[in-house]
Amino acid sequence: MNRKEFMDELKEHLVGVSKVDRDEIIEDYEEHFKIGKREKRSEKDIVESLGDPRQIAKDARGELSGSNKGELKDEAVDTWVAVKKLSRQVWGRVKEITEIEKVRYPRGEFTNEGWIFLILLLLSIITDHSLFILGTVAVVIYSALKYSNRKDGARNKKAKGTKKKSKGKTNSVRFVISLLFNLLFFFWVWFSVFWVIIGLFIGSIAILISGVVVLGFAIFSLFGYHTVMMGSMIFSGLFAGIGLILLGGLLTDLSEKVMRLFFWATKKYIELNMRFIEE
Amino acid sequence: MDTQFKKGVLDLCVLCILQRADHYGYELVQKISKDIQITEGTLYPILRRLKNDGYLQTYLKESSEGPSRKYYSLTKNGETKAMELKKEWKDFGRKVGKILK
Repeated sequence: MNRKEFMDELKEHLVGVSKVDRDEIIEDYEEHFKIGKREKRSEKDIVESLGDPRQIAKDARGELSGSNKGELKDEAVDTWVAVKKLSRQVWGRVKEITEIEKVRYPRGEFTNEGWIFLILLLLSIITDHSLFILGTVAVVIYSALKYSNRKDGARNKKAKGTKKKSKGKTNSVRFVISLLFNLLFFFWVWFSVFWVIIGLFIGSIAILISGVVVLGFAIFSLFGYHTVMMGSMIFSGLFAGIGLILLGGLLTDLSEKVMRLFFWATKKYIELNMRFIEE
Repeated sequence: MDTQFKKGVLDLCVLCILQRADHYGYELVQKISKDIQITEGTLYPILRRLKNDGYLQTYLKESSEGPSRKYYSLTKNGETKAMELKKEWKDFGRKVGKILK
């Protein structure tokens, strides 16, 4: 064990003492290492003479825990540290996986239209007024049109030379066909899917929040603050909370991707329509 | 040497060493661990507790050889406590000595 490992283990296990005491003790050991280094002792040697950081933390708890809180059980601390380490590992892995995905579907900038969309969305959920619902749809279509040309312009320049926005005649027959098809059929399908995806996203966030709440109660009970849970319930609460948080996090991320995919598909469909009309 | 036994004695050792002169943490730890077999790490929480209990006070002193060091000294209460513990130790030693004879 080197100095960093020793200090990390010590900090990790030094729970159940006041912040002041904790900071002071950590400072003391840092000073100890510094002076030892000055005397040309090797880090390994210093660490060996200091002893086991877990035991030190336990002693510190015994000496310094406030009488009103009572002493934290060692098993509780060991469990807590193990849980912290495990969830850090798992979350790291989750981030790894989702980072790879982020490259494939690059995020667009969050523009004014995005804000308008969110506000209209919230209003339509709250009031259930068809005006707002149509508003959200209108914003989506507007943004898709506004931003589709930008990307297409770049792509077409490479392939076929400059091809500006189509100057072709707007075929009125095709326009009517497209309009009828969309209004009578496509729009309703799209609309249902739209709300399902939104619901998925909101549901995922709800799972995430419930996980935080459960974990919060478990932690408070563990430290003796708000004994909502007791004994074995605390352990199940800890793991249930963490599980819900991870599940919620994963689902949120997944549903966010699905949303992005969905809006991209919508944009493509609208472009297709435009091309059809302006042929 | 038994851990329980050592724990009670360490307070006495720390206070008496500091009664003679102020020391910084590292040298205090070295001094005690030289004679009594203890893991050095266990001393700092004890020092912290003695400070919290009002027997010790600390001050920072610049050192020519590097970073400033935290020095420990006895408070008035610490002085009293030191004398108290010394007396207790002597009495205890006497009584145990009698039994061992």
